[in-house]
Amino acid sequence: MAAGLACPYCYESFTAREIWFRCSGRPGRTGRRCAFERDPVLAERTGRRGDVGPAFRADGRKSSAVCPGCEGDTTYRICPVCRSTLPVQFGAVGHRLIAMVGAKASGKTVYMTVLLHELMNRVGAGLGTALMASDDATIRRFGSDYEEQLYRHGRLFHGTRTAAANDGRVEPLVFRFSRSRGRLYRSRPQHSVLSFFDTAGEDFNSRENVELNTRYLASADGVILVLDPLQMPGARPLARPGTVLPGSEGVDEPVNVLSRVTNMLMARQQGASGRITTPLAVVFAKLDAFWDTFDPGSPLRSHPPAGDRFDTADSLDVHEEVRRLLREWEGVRIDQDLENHYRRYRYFGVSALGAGPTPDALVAPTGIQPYRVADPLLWLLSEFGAVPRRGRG
Amino acid sequence: MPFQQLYYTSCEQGLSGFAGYQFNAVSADVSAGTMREVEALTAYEPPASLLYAQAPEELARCPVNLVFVPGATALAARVQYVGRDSSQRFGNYFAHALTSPDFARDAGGLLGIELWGSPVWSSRPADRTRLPALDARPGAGPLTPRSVGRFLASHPHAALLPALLEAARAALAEDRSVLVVDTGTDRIAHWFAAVCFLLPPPLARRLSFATYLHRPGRGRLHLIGSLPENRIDLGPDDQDVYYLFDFVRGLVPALPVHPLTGLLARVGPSSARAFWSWADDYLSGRERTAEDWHGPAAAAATAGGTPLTPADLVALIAWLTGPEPPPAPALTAAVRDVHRQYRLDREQLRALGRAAARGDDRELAEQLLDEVHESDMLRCEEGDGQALPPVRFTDPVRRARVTGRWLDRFRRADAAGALRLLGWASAAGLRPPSGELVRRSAELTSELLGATVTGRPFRGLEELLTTAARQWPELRQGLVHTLGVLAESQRGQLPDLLLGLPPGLLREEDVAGHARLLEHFLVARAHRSPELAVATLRRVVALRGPDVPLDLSLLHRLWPPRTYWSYAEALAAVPALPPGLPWEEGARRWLGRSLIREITDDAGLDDCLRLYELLADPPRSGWPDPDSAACVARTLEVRDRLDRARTADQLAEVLDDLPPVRWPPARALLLRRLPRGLAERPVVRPDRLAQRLHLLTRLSDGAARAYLQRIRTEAARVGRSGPPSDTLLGHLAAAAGYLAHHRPPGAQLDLIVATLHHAREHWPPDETDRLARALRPYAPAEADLLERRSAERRSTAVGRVLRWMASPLGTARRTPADGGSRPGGPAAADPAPPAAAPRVPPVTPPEPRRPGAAE
Repeated sequence: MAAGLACPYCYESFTAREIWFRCSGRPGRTGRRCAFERDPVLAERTGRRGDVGPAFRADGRKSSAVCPGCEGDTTYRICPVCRSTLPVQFGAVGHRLIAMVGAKASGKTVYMTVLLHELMNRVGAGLGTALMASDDATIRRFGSDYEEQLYRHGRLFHGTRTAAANDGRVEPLVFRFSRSRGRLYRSRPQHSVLSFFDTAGEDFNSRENVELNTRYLASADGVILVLDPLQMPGARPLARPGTVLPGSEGVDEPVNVLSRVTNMLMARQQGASGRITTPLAVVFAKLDAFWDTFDPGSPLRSHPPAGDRFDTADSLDVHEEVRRLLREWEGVRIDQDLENHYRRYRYFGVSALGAGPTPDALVAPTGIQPYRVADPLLWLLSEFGAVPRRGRG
Repeated sequence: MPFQQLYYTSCEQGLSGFAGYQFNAVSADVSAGTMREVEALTAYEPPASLLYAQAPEELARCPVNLVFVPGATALAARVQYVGRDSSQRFGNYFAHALTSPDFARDAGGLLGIELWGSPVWSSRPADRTRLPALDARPGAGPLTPRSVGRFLASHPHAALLPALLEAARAALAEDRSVLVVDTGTDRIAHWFAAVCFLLPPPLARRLSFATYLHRPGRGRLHLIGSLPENRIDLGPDDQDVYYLFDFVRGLVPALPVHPLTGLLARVGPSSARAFWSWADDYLSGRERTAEDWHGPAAAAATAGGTPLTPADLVALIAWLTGPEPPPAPALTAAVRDVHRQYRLDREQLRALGRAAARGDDRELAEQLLDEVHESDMLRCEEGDGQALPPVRFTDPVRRARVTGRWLDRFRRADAAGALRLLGWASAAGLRPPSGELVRRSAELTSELLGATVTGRPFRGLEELLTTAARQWPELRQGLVHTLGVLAESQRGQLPDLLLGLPPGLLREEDVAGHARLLEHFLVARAHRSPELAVATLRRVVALRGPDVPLDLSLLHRLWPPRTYWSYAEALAAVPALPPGLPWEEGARRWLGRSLIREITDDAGLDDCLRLYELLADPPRSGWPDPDSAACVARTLEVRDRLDRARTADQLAEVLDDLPPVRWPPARALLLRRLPRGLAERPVVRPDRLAQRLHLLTRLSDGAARAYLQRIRTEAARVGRSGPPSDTLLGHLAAAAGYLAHHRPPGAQLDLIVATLHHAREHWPPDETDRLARALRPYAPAEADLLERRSAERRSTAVGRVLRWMASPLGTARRTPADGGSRPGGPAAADPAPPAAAPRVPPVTPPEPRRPGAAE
């Protein structure tokens, strides 16, 4: 199969021509109507067992096709592999698959929720971008399972279900990222489909578990690796007093998680340099626990410059600062691994909540005050060309 | 091989070597596939309201997920929320799973649902990663058929159990899921237990379930439980994947419930275990569909005393007579059970009879066959339109048995039923004792006739009675016997009773021996067939004898509701009666009314005269009353004078003594025959005839006009068909005299004027001159005018032309378009003179014409 596109739901690759269609079930021009039926492929791959219109093969490069059964027009384009309905204009606009990986309890889900919320609101407004859920499931799930829990109820999430516990499937959240692109006297929007899939930390505890996510990681255009400094032996003593520390018994070290991800990616893809070409954003979360230890001039004590572009200089400053902290936190092996195996990677320091949670796993009374959460994604998007950057590097 | 065990939770020590969700401990030889399945099936999320539960009492309130998945490696697991994990994160749960390649054996026959609350379950992580296999059979929990029965009895939505059973059965067949929402997993487990206990055990063992799923939309098991506060995230496309039973809100899917399901619900969970143990005797092990199960289940229900619905009965009997019935002892036991407990229809009895015969229970088969016939008779007796016609019995023994049963029923049946039974017996070839039939028939007809003194005693039964009477002479004998008794006791009502009998019920020979009955029978028959009235009159008169006078009553009964004969009827009846027959006064008045009637046509007049001739001579001349007899005599006299007169003068003398108005036949005779008779006879004295024309006008203006019209028609022929006859000239002279001296009414005047004008203008002059001469003694002015005109016509070319036109040749060559006339055509009949011709005779100007007067 010639690669070109990847389904934002199953992350399988295919070409635009290979996209299938699904009959809408409405009467066609001849008055015939296709009967809805269970799609065994859809049921097997996604767990959705409801009756749907019949799927058929047609030229997927076109936006519509005529159903051979009822001769009715349909615009429902579906993935030829998992049969999920693809986002509107899929293939005609850019699409990026973003994998969120990290050790158990590193804060991936909280970070992803805050990141998306910020892009939909404050950060998005500042950048002149918009992020909208691309399908009903994403609207429903992101609203009730993520945003409502964290922002409305102030509850932290329980552990993400492992891929094995989810029948070996992941359920990505698919968004439509839009940005106005100015050209002299007029501007036109530029769209990208962003697919995020969250993983359980346990999925990176062993190679076997990592394998369950192989397809998703291998197809990802960018990977956000979330690491919790509080799980690093050198950093735990530096945390602000009163910080709720994760248990250390049996906890896998972040460098091991990185190693397993790296091994899996290397088995799938390597650049000419022998290094992994997938850009990797290495995000150290929960930085609020260490702010007291940072120098006053540290870039991690300031907010990124305002503007509608990704500021490369600021990002590199942060990158170097984190690299310095890694030495302090006894995380040099992480830096070495990254340097040796990745062609494009960058460190980020973020705090999704702005303050540590309460012992009851609730958001601190001061509320959610995110810090630099958008930087990793903006860097990835700037790498993809979806967001302009200021400066080089 | 005992159960293998698995513990899965978020813990620090386990098989993964790292803290987090992992298998804490497993038995030896548990495969990776089994572990993956357990991990997938036991995933747990608490309801949002209990996410932060950590106190024991809070945790105890958390829903428990008991999972059961049958298969090559059956899996049962209990998942319990435990709050925080070792990293202090909430959301941790503990799953204890048991797996076995033979669950039923290793569980000691327990169903998966019976492990709800079982003491076998653990919720504490093990210290070591290796768990022993379960060394004893797991103990059952608190769910028993009895406790489930109590639960349902107190549940407000217990009536939804049949629908739930149906949905569970459908889920097994269609790869769907049944989603049950209730306020707690304990209640959900009770619902599941009800389903598991009630479904056929092989089906129940195939049911997979999970008593609690936070996101039921992801579940693929047959039965899924959830709580109201969880999001039932069924998308639009998932509606046809789940049967949602929300027992909190009372929502259920609209599912047609199979009768088997209804039967199982009526059996109820409390009796389910015993029920299915009884059913074991009937099961073949090859049952797959609901239809396969229904028959054996109905048999077990019958054995246990659970009432069956008609649909259950149908299924049971179909199964007993189907290709795979149970072995003989169970078969006959089921047949006897159903036969003992239910009132069965004919086909069911027949089918059970076949089943009993198949089970070699001859006595029962014979009994059922008897009941089939009994049922046939019953349906026949009750008038069931769907009852099948009986098969003719050829076996003498069986015929005798059935005859005995038939007689029992025939003796007890009401009239309608008995008549139907007679039809049935005839078709079946039964031969009941004749005497018994006559006796019962007499009873039946006596009841019917005795209950109704007027009208139709057999209303609604006519066809039945007639048919039975045709088939069974004994019925007719019984009826005649009854009528004979009534003839003595209720003589006055007998005619009405006989009139009320259906036609064809009795035959003449049936009543031949009863003179009184015979007369009434004949009269009743004539009542229904009026064409037989005269013949019946003759028969009755003959039956009564020559000395019995003819009475008005008989005439009324034979010609109801009339009070006289028409002339045609009288012409038929009178000759049929013996000339010496005496007549009662009433009958004489009937005859009188029949003799003096208005006559409207010539046929009626002919009939009247023929009738009068019959009665003119003795001894029949004594039948009419005196006035009628006088009318007959006068009418016949007038007829004789009309026939005998030689001249018109003689004939006209009849006008001097006209018959009275009350004798319409005599006056009708004059009106219809006098005008023609006058016109055809020669006139000796036109002046006298002219005078009698005045009398004729007094009798009838129409008759006078008829006469004058005939004269005019004859006059119109003159010239074309020859010269006028002397008779015509005489009548024209009389008419002219009548015109001149008697001032006839307008229409008559017009006719006379037109006739004379025609003669003046169209007759050949010579003939006109002859007419002038004939008229001169009685109407000289008209005679002058005729002569003058004749002279004019002779002297002018026009006259020649006119003569030519009046000749046959000229008439033949003229066409209507010329303004001429054809012989017999409209112009010939039109006596109107030309516009220039004078219309008023010179002698006496006619009166102004009346509106509507004929031209």
